[in-house]
Amino acid sequence: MPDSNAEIMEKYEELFETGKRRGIKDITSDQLRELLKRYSGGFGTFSYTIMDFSSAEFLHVAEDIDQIWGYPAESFLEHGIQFLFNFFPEEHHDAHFKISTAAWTYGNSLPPEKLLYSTANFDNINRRKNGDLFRILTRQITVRLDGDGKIWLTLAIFTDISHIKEPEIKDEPRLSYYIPKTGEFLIYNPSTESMINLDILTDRERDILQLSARDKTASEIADELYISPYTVQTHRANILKKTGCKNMAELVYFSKYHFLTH
Amino acid sequence: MKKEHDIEQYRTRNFHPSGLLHEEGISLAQLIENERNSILPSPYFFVFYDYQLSETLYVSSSVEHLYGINKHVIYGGEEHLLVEIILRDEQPAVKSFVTEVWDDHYHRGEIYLTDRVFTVEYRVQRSNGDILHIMHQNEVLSFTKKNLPKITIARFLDMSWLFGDEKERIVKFYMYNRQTNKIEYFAEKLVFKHAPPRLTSREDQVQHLINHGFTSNQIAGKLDISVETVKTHRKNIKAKKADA
Repeated sequence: MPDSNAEIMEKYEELFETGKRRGIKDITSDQLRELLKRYSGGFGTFSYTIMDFSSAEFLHVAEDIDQIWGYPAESFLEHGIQFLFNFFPEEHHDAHFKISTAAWTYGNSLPPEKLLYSTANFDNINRRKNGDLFRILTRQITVRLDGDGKIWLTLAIFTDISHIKEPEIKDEPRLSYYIPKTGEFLIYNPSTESMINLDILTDRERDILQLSARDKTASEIADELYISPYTVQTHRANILKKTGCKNMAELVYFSKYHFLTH
Repeated sequence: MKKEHDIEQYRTRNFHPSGLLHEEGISLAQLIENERNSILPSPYFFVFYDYQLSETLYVSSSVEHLYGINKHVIYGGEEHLLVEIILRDEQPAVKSFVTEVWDDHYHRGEIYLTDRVFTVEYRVQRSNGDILHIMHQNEVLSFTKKNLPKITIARFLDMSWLFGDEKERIVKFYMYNRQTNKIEYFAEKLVFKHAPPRLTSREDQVQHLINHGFTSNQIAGKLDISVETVKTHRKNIKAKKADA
């Protein structure tokens, strides 16, 4: 994907530079709010914070954050990042911990130039102060790296997307990761607990993945595509190598989970 | 096909902006630049459209990556390709639903307002058989001096990562107001309860030719495959239809 968001990131850069000089809490963020209002998607009601992962604190919390969970900005500033974990239903604690770890590990495995401004997108079910369940899309954009080139500050944008997808407790949390620098887009595979980039598969490999997801055997696939069963096996081996999955079952689970097949 | 330099000229012209908010004009080039800098959670492409001239002004090149369609084909007046890629099972339902809801907003005058994002969600099928869950946004970016929509943008986001295998298929339409930061309108329509088994791209081609009255022999010739293969395809198609 050639479209990049380099320029808006420069604007953030300026903002954060200004913020650093003035003490970043002073970005009362009329500017930031204006930018986000226009460029952050238009999916639904959103609010945002700036998170400091070195101290696990919020550096800034938008005043209107109460529209998301029902708690005022002060509660977030007082309790730090941990405060967010209160909103997850108990059933999701493990799954959420896993995807957070995957996003954190993957992000920090990237070279600094790719990590900067990369975005982790989380799809979660949360509970509001009044007890209602709702679906929340969280975008964590890494805007500052620490001395070791790891995640330090993130701009977190929270959007209520209950109208897009029912907030059902049986839905496990999801995660995707976008790297604007290269246009890479990765999706989390719960069975391997790691990120997969499906763009690296060739069209033929995708055909084979699709047919496999329909529970076809190698010889059935071979028949359908008019190739030898051995070629199917070779393709499958390559797919597994590229995606880091141990076996086809892991990969098929992933494809069904993300609706990449039919 | 529109000549590149015509487009360039057009791009640098200034348009009356969303008159309610700003006073100065804004160039299409600037609008495109702004759009490239959006923060979105998925791969996407966008299309700028002149609502008054009914003309496509700009198509971002990621349309090739996402839909497998060359952007110059869209410039050349083949905008309908962006609609025809909608999954065949749900295309009629999506079209009639969108027309209905859009007309409603039109009569209420809401498409003449600034900062409203209209979204419709549906699924598309690429030529390689992949199915994508698309979030299609429409927004008016600039108005004529009489406050009629001038430049509009359509964004097509691939939100497949957010959706799993769905039992029910529901098309959704909603309107977000950037000023109030709220969803102000929501409508949905059930397309089907259980997904019918889907044809492969080859079976689809065969079905298409059958619909046009070709015999198995003729189809074999056209697709450069053996008659036996065509018969197998026909058999599979029939089985899938019976399932549905």
